[in-house]
Amino acid sequence: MIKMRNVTKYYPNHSEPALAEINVDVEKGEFIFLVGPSGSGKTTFIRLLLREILPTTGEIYVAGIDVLHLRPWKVPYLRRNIGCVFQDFKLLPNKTAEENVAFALEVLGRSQHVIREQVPEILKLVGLESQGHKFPSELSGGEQQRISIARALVNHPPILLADEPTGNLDPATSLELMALFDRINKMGTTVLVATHNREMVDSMRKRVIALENGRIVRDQVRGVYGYED
Amino acid sequence: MRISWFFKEAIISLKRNWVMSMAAISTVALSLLVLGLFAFVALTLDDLITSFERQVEIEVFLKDEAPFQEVQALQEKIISWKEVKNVKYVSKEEALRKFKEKYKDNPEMIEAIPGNPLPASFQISLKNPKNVVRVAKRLEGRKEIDEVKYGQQVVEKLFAVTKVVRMIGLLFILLLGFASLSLIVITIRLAIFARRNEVSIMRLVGASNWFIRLPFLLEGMGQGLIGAIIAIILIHFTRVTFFEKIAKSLSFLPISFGFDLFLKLSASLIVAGLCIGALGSSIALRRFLKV
Repeated sequence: MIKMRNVTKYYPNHSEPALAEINVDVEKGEFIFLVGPSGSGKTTFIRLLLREILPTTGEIYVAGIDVLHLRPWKVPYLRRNIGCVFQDFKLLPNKTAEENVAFALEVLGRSQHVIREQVPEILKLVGLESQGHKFPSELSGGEQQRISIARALVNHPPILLADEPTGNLDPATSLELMALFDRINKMGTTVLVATHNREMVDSMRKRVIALENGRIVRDQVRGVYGYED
Repeated sequence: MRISWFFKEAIISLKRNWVMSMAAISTVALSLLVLGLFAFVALTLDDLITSFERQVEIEVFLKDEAPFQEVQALQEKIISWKEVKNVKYVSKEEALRKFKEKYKDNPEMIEAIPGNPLPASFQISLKNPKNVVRVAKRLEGRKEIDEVKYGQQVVEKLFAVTKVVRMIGLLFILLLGFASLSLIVITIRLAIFARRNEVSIMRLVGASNWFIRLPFLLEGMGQGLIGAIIAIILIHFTRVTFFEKIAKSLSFLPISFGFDLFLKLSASLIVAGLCIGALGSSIALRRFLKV
């Protein structure tokens, strides 16, 4: 589902690479934690997969798409295969929860019929079927993150990327969210979560890829967080 | 694709971002108002200049001894030239009658003239007054013709002046148009900057570039259209309350500030508003759409 071959990324005006010689294979249906201290390259890793940036050298394949040789106007089609969740939720403040989720379908040109059917379904999956009419400012942080997960999933992408999804949430809410990720993974979606959250990683016992200074220092099948903060 | 969705999005965002929309609309309205008023005055002056130019005629005085058939043949020949609109023959008798008419308050002037010394003449009007010199030169020296008069110096000065006036007018209109466009680009860029999250989310969920662009484009065009309509209403009031009074007090000049011109101007302003809105939002969006 995700394949990286000898990927190295230098940013302009930096002598050290943000990522160096990364080789990763992720199969369909896997659940992966990407861990490491700040500045270790987790966000660069995710931005490469989204083709927000291009690697300096190496090859990247996402959902069978050759990311390096993708024409710029085809980038939207790559992104339709990847649902994205961020630390700061990135919800549109002037749209209701329902509208935020529907927006992801509308920009893909789905019909009103499909939207009316799928939005309540996905809100139910994240447990917010009764909150759809509220604006993001009227929802708690955990609820906002659930809405952003609903938006990421409503198009049924094969891959879900989450960059520090629990960074702004309290521990109890974080665990609830992890249970939600697990449920989504069990339904067949490949899930990759970049995180700092020790309890979450230790309690889930999933594959862990640990980054340090832009290099993979550990790739364990049933790993733990493994750092002292 | 569902066009209605784009219109709905554009209207919703006009409503929800009404402060920015108001800023953009009033910028368009003010720019087009200034542009429109200037263009209105400039076009009216242009009409005036054109009417001066139309009055340029060639007067050809014929020799008394030229036979009538030859004069008639010459008249037909001149009419057949492609630059010529009309040739009017003024006979000796008619010339005298006009002369008497003109000086009827000075009988001694008329009495001083023995017989009829006035020559017969052609009054030649041209399709395009710019050709006056060329046609006049062609006529000079023919055996039937005594003298060709076209007020050479006056004509050349007139054309020199009107050329400069028109160039200055065009330059001003271009400058004002450019200034309006810049103002609108800046305003729309601010509006889009305020909504860059929306754009980045659209890109993240895989919206194609034109899908992102279209609502902004429609919004920009909507703002341009509303701005143009406001400008037109203001120009209309200025026309009724101000210009028409000027035209009345300068009634010796053929100034009209007419409704026809106003309609044409309104149509151009609406087109300009739509173009400026669309162009402004495309320019402003370009930076946000880089992959």
